[in-house]
Amino acid sequence: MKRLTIDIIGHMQRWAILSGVLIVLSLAALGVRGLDLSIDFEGGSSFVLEGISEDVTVADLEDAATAVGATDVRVQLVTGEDDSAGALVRMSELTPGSQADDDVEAALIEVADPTAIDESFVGPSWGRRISLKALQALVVFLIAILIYISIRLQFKMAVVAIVTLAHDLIVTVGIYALFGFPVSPNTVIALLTILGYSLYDTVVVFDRVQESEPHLGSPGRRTYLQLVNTSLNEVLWRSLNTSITSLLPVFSLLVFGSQLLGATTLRDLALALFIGMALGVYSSLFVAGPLLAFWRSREPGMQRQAAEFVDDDGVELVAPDIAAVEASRRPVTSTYVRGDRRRRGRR
Amino acid sequence: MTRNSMWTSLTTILVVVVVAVVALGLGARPRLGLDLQGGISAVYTPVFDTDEDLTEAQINEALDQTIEVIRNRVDSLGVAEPEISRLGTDINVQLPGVADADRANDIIGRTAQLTFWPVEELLVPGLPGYTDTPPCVMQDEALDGTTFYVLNPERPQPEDGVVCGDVQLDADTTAGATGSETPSPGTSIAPSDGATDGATGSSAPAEPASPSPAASPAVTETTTESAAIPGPDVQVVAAQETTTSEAPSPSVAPTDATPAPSDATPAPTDVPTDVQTINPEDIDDGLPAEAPRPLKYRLGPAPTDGDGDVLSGDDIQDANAAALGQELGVSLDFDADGEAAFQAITAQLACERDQGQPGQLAIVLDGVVESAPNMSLPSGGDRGVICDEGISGGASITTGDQASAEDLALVLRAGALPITLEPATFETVSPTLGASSLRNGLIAGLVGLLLVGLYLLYFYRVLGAIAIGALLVFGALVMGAITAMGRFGFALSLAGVAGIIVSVGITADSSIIYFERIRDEVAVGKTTRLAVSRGFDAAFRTNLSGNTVTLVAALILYFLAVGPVRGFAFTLGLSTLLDLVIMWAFTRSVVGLLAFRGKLGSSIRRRQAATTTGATEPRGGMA
Repeated sequence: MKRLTIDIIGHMQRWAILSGVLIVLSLAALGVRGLDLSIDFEGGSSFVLEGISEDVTVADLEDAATAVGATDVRVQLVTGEDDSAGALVRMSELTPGSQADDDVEAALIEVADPTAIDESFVGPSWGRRISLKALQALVVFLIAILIYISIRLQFKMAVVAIVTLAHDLIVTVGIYALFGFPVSPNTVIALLTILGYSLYDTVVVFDRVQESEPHLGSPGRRTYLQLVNTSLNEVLWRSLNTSITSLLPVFSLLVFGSQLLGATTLRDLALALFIGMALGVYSSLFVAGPLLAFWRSREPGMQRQAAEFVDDDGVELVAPDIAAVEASRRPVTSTYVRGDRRRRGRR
Repeated sequence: MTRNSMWTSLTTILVVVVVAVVALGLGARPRLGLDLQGGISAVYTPVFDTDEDLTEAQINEALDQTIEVIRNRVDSLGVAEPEISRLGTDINVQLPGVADADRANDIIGRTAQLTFWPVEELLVPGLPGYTDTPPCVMQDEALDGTTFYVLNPERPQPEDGVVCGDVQLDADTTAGATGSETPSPGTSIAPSDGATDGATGSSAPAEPASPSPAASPAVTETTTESAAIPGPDVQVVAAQETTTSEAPSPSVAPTDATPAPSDATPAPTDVPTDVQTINPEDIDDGLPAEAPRPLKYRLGPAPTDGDGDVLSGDDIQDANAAALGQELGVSLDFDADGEAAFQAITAQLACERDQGQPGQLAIVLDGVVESAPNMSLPSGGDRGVICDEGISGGASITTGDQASAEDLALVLRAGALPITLEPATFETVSPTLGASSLRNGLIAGLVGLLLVGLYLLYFYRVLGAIAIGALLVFGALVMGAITAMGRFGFALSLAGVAGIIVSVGITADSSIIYFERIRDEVAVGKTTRLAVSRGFDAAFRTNLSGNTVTLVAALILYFLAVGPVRGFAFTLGLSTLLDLVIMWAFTRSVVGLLAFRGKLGSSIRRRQAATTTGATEPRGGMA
């Protein structure tokens, strides 16, 4: 296995176009198709029928519910545990315990003969309130993170991290809209977690950039662009390995959770996490890194510094040959170690 | 970090792990949320019925009272571990093991209805008249197949002229009749100005008829005492009045050693009691012999307030637990509307008492008599309640002990709550679904752990084995912590399980960051030992930054979000913290100690040779 080297920064435009297209597609999908919101957002009732008779069809259940007064009935047949058949029947809201509610339940039981029936009801204002809460949480979170990264790293890094985050969220939501995956409160949880993951990855990348900054100008770090590129390559394995080890459990959750009838929590969480985490890896390397490099390299100091290192043929940046970088790091490291000691001494 | 301190932290964390594993091995289990064990989970939004703007304090008080009322109602459902809590301005109700959605919603969502009624006659179990109306309780079956008693929805309602007495139903009632009724001390009502004076020895006159609402306590006590003896014979002491209508109040002589209180006091309510043995088998109400059978009350027409409405909780201005002389009780004030009606009804009841009728005022909440105080008799400086005069102004009700005073005050205040509960979410989960969710969650977690372990082992060899060790430590600590939290009320939900599974990746990541760092350091020519300690400092810093972000996310989610999100945020935050602890105490120690012994050099070198060209050969670690 050879260490991977990718000229990420050198192909900045390529990633910018890719991400731009993704975002435009996502927004278009969102505008055209919208999101398939679960009853938790719109308000409504749903029944989960476990172990129903094999020959029951969607139409049977729809007719049965509609006949006793349910409106806006949507039926989904699911294969549950041990290949038993099940069904998820959604409809506009019926107050639990009301006569209408009892009637629908009785009608469904009569048609489908389930081994168990679970009911859930969500009031019309509940969805709006939890969405509001989620939005509130998001704003507070973003402010907290902006402050934290500004203190811990740099203000520009904080801004780039949040732009990256927005990228991940928009594309995830776009994928949901495009494929018509149902959005439930669990999806919202997962989206909020993606925020954490996406930032985690970005912070790891920026942490490395920050650490290398004192060595700006040394081999492999001639310009800020090159410095970011080298840093990205240095954390590449970590990023790949981490994403694989993070995605494996989520994948397992997706596989085992999706077999579950009714308990859509696991599936909803896992799906959004899977999409978001995969995006998080991509964006921390190919969105956050280039964006930061682009922004910082526009600083006058950086441009002056970069001018010194422009190659004869005018190509400012080349993909670093990792062997050369590694070799060149030796003397650098020795000063770094000394610097490290000095820092230790001061502590 | 010295080797000694590495040993210390390693030993410490391993001891904690062993404790956790042993506890789990001995059968300690996390408390499961509703979605994993089955039951009903609901969130109610209170809607305030008044036009007035309520202050925050008023809203808070109203919510707290509403929760108390719901708790009381839920207790009558026979739920083992109900959880009723506030979520901001919402009320979160978790009823594990309850399957009947309709009744749960009916019981919780109902508006509290507190009304006052004159008692015309007491109906004692086993005596004529008791079985003329439907029974007060009915048998129900829990999800696990055990039976218990709940209030019968068909029970007589005050509007029918008969109402059931208070009955304590909890999950343990299956054991027998022991829960049939809380032995409530007798209560009596008096004008509030007089009650505080005549405390000296004057409680006796107020007491004579006091045991009257406590017909079943006698049943309770006898059965409790004879609990060991099989056989449903229960002694019920019934007043002659119920059979002969000669004596006014059915009084009960507790069959234990307690002397019948103040029977000698010359009062018309006092009657010699006739001890009679009633076999519950003979009570023809279709219930098993051991079923709890509270007293029933035959009621007169309800008094009406100034608006022409029934005298109800709306007419109550305030009610507070208070010391009434030497007694504890509740002071009760009516508003202008209610005052006249209350005076009229008490005046009428005092006359009835003098004529030898019960003369009790039934305080009925949600169709069950919460308390039925007597009209207190004049004695000493105390005027008591006088026929045709009644109680004008405030009243006070003696109850006996602090707890019952507070309960009654709460009931009276709650009856006046301007709140309607609307269901915001309502969800039932069957226990089979809960169990299969739990099983799949566990399988997903274990498979995830296994896959991650294999990957790490393949990629990092010896270091990978250490990472697996860290994952196992993580698993043990997380399970241990969650089990311990269960004791403080934390219930693991499906979302929580997902939070843990997600954290597996976070834990693996800290090892990966560390190992990659070691490889970097070795690549630039450091010795294994140096690489290990330098690498740790840098990796831990990075990990701290990353975990802080995740922790902030978890905290914000936990405090701002509602419902299942909180469970997820909790386990995510907990796992993130544990991850830092494990990296600090376990991973560093194990890697550090192995490096000291020179065990890692060859492993890292080999990886290094495989991954980079021209890497320097680091010197092996020193022994």
